Amino acid sequence: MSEPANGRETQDQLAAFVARIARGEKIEPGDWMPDDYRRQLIRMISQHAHSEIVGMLPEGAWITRAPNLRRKMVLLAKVQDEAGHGEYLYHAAETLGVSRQEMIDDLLSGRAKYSNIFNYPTLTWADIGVIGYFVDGAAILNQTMLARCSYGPYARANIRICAEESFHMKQGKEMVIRLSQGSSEQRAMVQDAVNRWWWPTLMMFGPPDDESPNTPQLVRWGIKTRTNDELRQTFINNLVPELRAMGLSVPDPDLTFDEASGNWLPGAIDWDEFWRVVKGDGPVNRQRMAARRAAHDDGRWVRQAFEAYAQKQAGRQPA
Amino acid sequence: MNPELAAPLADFLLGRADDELVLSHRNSEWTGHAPILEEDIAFTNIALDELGHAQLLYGLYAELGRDDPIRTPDQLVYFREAPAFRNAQLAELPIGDWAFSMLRQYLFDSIEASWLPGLTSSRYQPLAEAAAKIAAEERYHLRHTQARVRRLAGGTDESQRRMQTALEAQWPLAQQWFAAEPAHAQLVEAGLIPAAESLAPRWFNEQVAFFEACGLAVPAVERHIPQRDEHTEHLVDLLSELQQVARAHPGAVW
Amino acid sequence: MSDTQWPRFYVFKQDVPDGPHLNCGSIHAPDIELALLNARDVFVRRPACVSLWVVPAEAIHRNPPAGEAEDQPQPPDTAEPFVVFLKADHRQPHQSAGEVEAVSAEQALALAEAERSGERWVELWVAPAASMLGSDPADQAAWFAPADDKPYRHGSFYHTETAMRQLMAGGSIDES
Repeated sequence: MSEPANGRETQDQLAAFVARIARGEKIEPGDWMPDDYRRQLIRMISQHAHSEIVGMLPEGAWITRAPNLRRKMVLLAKVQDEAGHGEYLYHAAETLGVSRQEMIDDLLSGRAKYSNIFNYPTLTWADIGVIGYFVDGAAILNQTMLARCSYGPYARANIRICAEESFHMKQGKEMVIRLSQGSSEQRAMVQDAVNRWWWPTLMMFGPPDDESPNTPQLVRWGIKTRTNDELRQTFINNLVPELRAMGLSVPDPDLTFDEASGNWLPGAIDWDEFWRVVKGDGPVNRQRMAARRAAHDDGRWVRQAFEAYAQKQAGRQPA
Repeated sequence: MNPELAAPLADFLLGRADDELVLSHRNSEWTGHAPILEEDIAFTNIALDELGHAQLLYGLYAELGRDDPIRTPDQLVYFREAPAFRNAQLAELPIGDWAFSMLRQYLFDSIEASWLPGLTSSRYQPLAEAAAKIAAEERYHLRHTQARVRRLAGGTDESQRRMQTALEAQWPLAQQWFAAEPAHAQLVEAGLIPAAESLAPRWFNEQVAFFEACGLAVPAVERHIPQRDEHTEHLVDLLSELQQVARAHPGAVW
Repeated sequence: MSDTQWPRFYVFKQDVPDGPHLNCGSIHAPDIELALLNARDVFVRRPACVSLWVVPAEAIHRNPPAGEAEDQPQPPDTAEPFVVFLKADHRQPHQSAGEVEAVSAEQALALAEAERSGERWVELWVAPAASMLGSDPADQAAWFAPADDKPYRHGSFYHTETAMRQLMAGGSIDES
């Protein structure tokens, strides 16, 4: 099958590129690539990076209220990792020719997106457990796939992220298990958190396959190897039996088990909510962006001070 | 170890553990809000290390076999009221701006650098071992915070002004770590801890030299230096957040 | 430099004594001392590191050339050491591969290439040793060993599988 070629790219170049990917070769910085491949990857990788950074906010807010020292340390370590993952991903995006400054500007201006899931609020301590179990669990499925993607730097960043992410999910799962087996107040707290985070997590995998026009091309280019619906189904199949074993209910009255396929089939997902939140009208979109802008603006004098010092040391006049 | 020394040693350890806990908590308030991503990772790492130190020191306190019902690290952190805390007052103050927090952490790191060699040669073996572990991480902290203080003091007019303001607020309170506490005299005599008065002159002179080299003016110390049981309302605010979830469900397992 | 666009530094990590330094990524910092400190926090949260190097991106000269002509400063009269980094194939990161003495980056690249005429490589980098900053070996315990002391950063620290098995079997979890 031939790729649609724009004016600059020949059919031969595109065919050779797709053949490289089909052979399992990695595309590295400096290699020829279609403009669209570069553009899609910049969008995906920077969005991934922004998600890690914004994702620090809902969990970071509860470090000060973690109810024992072990949980406090684990949460600090997790949020620190997320910042580190943002670093790896910004670096991977930079290899494609976009600058850190541009990416930050796009995030703060609202031009760039980040994962919708972080536009939901953390209302109780139990939310922290559920986020680790659900959200990091979903992210691991996605990142495991991306660790094999065709673009070398992004694949390698995801390999490193996957290795570090395993404890992120497990610490959340451990917390959910504990709460589900704890006092009646703890059980109620975690069930409430499950009820609020289940559907937004399912939406993390993106729109249904028949509404994802990019997917076939991303598959041909070796960026996606599994579709949104496939990943979503795997996630549901993993979680439902576990939640039920914990005595927790899934907030889906239409959830049924299909003997033939072995799949737990969910009820209808409210895609109106998904698009509303993507467009900026979710529960805490505005607060998230306000927090990022405030940190950026309040920190300007610090960044300027570091630059001025560096320039003085190098013998030049500060700007 | 002479059993009569258990109580004053426990008191000493509790003070140091509370320092680490309260400071770590304050530092963690910056997570997600630091001036730039790299600073966020680095400062969160320091908060994480300090929390580990607190846990270590609370563990030593618990081992000394006090009879109090509130004894384990989690109980000490989550179920004491403000008057029972023994941290130095500087630790509990609100985070202020980045200059304030960087300077506070630097002062603490320099104070630990002063105390830790003596603590690593404590005749109480568990303390000597804990101090050695802490000292390894503190060496990195001091390098980190010293680099930031130097840059902020010598950066722009604005950053220097903010550092000067921070130094004026914090320098008198930093002296608290070097005020001799009569209850500790017997610990010094038994070789369990170094004497604050013996550490003070060198630390003082080193810090004055450092700050002056950075272009900052070290203020005179003219105010009352608080004792470890003297706290501000800031500690009450801090604890109400820190303890909120734990106290809402006493006895729960997390 | 501008507000968030600080100079870039490539980071090289040595995982075992006597092993090569491997490129693990890059970071931004206003100066090289902060670059080294930041690199430690970004890349060494888990063990397996004995030494860290940071190299300013602008100090790296590459062969094959990046494509744009770079402003070449006047070459000094005396030779200085250049550290060589070699990328064996597309899947491998750049790794340290000794030093050459040269009066310019071009000469260093030529020498490095000549030394490796029999080897397979896809890209060579050279950077003046004087432009780099490495961690002090005396700092190893303070900088890298503490990562070992944080077992909670590893998945194996959490016994979720045991607990899940007990729950699936219809029992309750063992609180130990």
